[in-house]
Amino acid sequence: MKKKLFSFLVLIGVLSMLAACGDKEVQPVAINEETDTCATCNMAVVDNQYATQVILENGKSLIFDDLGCMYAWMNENADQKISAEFVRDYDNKEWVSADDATYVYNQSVKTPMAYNVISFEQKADAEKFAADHAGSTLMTADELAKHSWTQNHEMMQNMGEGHSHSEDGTEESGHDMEQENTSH
Amino acid sequence: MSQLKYMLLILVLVLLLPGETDAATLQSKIERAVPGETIEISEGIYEENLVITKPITLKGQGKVLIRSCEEQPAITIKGEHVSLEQIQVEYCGEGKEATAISISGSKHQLTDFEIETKRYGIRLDGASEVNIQDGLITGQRKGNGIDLWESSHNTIQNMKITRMQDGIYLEQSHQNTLRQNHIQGSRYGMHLMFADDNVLEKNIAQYNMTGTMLMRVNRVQVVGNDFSYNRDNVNAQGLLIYFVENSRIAENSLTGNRVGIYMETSEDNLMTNNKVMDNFIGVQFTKANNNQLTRNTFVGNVNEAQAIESSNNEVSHNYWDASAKLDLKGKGESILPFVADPYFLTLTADVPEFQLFFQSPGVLLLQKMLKSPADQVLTDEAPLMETTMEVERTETSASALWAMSVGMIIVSTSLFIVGRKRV
Amino acid sequence: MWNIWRSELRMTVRQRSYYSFLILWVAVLSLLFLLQNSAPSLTGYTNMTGTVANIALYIIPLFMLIIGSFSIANEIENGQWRLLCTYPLFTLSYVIGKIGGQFTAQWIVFTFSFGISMAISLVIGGGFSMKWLWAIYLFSVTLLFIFLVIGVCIGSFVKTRWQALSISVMLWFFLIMIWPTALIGILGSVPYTWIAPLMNALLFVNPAELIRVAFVISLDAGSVFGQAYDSLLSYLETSLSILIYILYFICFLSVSFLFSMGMLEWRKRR
Repeated sequence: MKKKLFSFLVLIGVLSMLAACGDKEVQPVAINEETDTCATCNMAVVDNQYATQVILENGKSLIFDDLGCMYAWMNENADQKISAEFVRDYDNKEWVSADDATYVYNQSVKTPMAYNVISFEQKADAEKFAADHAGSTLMTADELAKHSWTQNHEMMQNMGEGHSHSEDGTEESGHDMEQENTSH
Repeated sequence: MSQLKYMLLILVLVLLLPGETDAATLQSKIERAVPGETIEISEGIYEENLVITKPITLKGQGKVLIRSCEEQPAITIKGEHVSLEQIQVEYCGEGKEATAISISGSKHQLTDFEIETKRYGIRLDGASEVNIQDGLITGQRKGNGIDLWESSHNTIQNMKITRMQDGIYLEQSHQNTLRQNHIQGSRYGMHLMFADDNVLEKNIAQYNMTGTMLMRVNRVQVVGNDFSYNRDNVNAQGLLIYFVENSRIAENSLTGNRVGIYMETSEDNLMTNNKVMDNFIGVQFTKANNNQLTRNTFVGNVNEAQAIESSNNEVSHNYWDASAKLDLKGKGESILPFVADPYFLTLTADVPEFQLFFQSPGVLLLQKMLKSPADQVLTDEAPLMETTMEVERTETSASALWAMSVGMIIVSTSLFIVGRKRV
Repeated sequence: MWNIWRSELRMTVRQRSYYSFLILWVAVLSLLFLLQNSAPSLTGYTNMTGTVANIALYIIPLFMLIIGSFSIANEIENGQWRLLCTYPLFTLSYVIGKIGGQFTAQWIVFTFSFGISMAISLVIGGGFSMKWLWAIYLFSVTLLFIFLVIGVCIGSFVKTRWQALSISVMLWFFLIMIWPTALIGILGSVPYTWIAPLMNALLFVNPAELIRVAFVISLDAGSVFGQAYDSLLSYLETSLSILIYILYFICFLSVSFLFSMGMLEWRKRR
């Protein structure tokens, strides 16, 4: 038993050293498509541009399949201490800190849970996207916090049917929320 | 003169040949067909992309294979009353939205067909009253088998779907009927999102990551389905219910899943007469309120039920095989309530790593010591004495077992005798 | 070594307490099998399987720790150890002989009881799944062996049988009963990111936990441990797992052999 105790102590020592070395800045964790599910809606998270994550102060990371799911979680868990939020750049899928990103709300964008908000690292890219796609609303992180997060189908039900098909090729996510309604 | 003849011949050939090849394509036949006509396709492989916009019937004679690797669907169906029968499709388009068959319009019929696809199998977009049946769809887990988008009043039955992302996916599609489909080896068997008033009846979804996902749906009927052996993934379950209201989950069989029924943030649903058997966790509720769980049979589940942040659920008259039962009044009900302690779920909700202690003897002890407050436990006040349905057994042949038993006795006895001998 | 092995086996087999074990195992196993008979399902990881595994986890380690530690403590108390010390006997052979003989004896009685209990429930009219039975059997025999070895380790440093008993019970209580409680307590105070690696490492420290987890995985139920162990499971579910188990087994054996040898040598010199 003494040996075991000893090895246990050694292990703790090694781990604490590792922790001390890696204690620089909060890094986003990679997504495992096989096992990661959205912390809000339980759907499997595809490693695509819609995935987001929250890193808590204790180091626990939570993965979301849609920006809306992340905000839904943050609203429900306001008491949790968050050390970082990451979103992805719509074009190159790089992780970006949620505060630095620029957002576009556009109903024609299909996101996994139909919240229809996408994120960009560069403001210019976001502006370009908004210019190319009618009906876009450009938002900063602060403005996003006040966003109402209506899901597309709720809009749909209020407006009745009326849509067309989208050629807006996006990654297969939980599913493509192909959605048009630029006629809004 | 002969030169002129020769040139004429060439001219005739040039004029005729395209016409002839054109006549050979299916598309040209389709174009020439009058509405209501039945085109019988003779056996063979056709490398084409078909577009059908008028009410005609395409019927294969023998093995008819349509093959396409184009971005556009192998078969596009529009308009009304188009029928496809006995046709095989091999589709290797790799675009993210690529699909073997694309359907819009209404009242189409697809029967007795086979699809092999790299992405999607069939996509319905704004289609209604389409009937898809007796078909086979296999894929590479990269697209959905049958994908309904804003398509209502459709019927999908008797389909065999394997290795797709979601076997059958419904979004913003209402009042559809999915019956007797068999889905396996896919991510989700059936996946409903924002889809109301659908009926899922007698389907079989086995060996998927999750049998069926109901997400943000209302008034769905899930009756007589078999969601079993969905357990390989660490997030697997037979039936996942998220943000669902006023739905009825009845007479389903949930066997050998990681979690039989997982319910979250759902209200006013009725779960009755389900057979929840041999799952690692029978039912799990999180933030599920005002639901009714009655007359279900829970047999052989390692952990029968756990619930957190759930209240006002009417849990009664279920059969729990592991609970102590005592019937004093002869009503077929036990006076001893069944209690499901949420301790382990609470523990693992904060630190999922502790899930390694699942059913560890020490945790069972801990759970007994730290009794959770009565308002947090899931309680069945009147559990049933008998199951609500027949529970069948499977057995290995007795002779093999006898051989094992006798073999063990003989081996150990002989060693025993050897051991007892004086050296 | 073989002499020790044989004499240990003979001595154990001839003890009266040995036959009480026969009765104990037959009673427990028959009861469990009868319970299993009443359950509708026979395969896989079900509540019956969980119950059987937990009862095995309660009983087997405790008895094996006591038997293992007593087998040496006994010889030390009655002076046989002093006598053996006068022979030119290698300590490792003594330890291996002790473990081997004791294990053979316990294995015989367990296997015999298993066979008898199976026969009893088959006569009564039960049915089983072969795979399930083998899983239970191997699970129990592994527990039997591992805890015998630990028992012998305890025996190698205790002075009296009383001491052997108290240490065995303490260790059993720690490894089986309060292991999760202790871990939950300790890990509650470390940073969250350490919990996963520590849990993984500590799994290999407690053989009872490892055997239990391996048993659950062998019944295709590894997914129940959740996302945090997916990478561990993906190792343990492949054929590579055999290699890991063998490696663990070798490490475990060499550590415990070295330990008990060292303790005995140290004691010899005193």
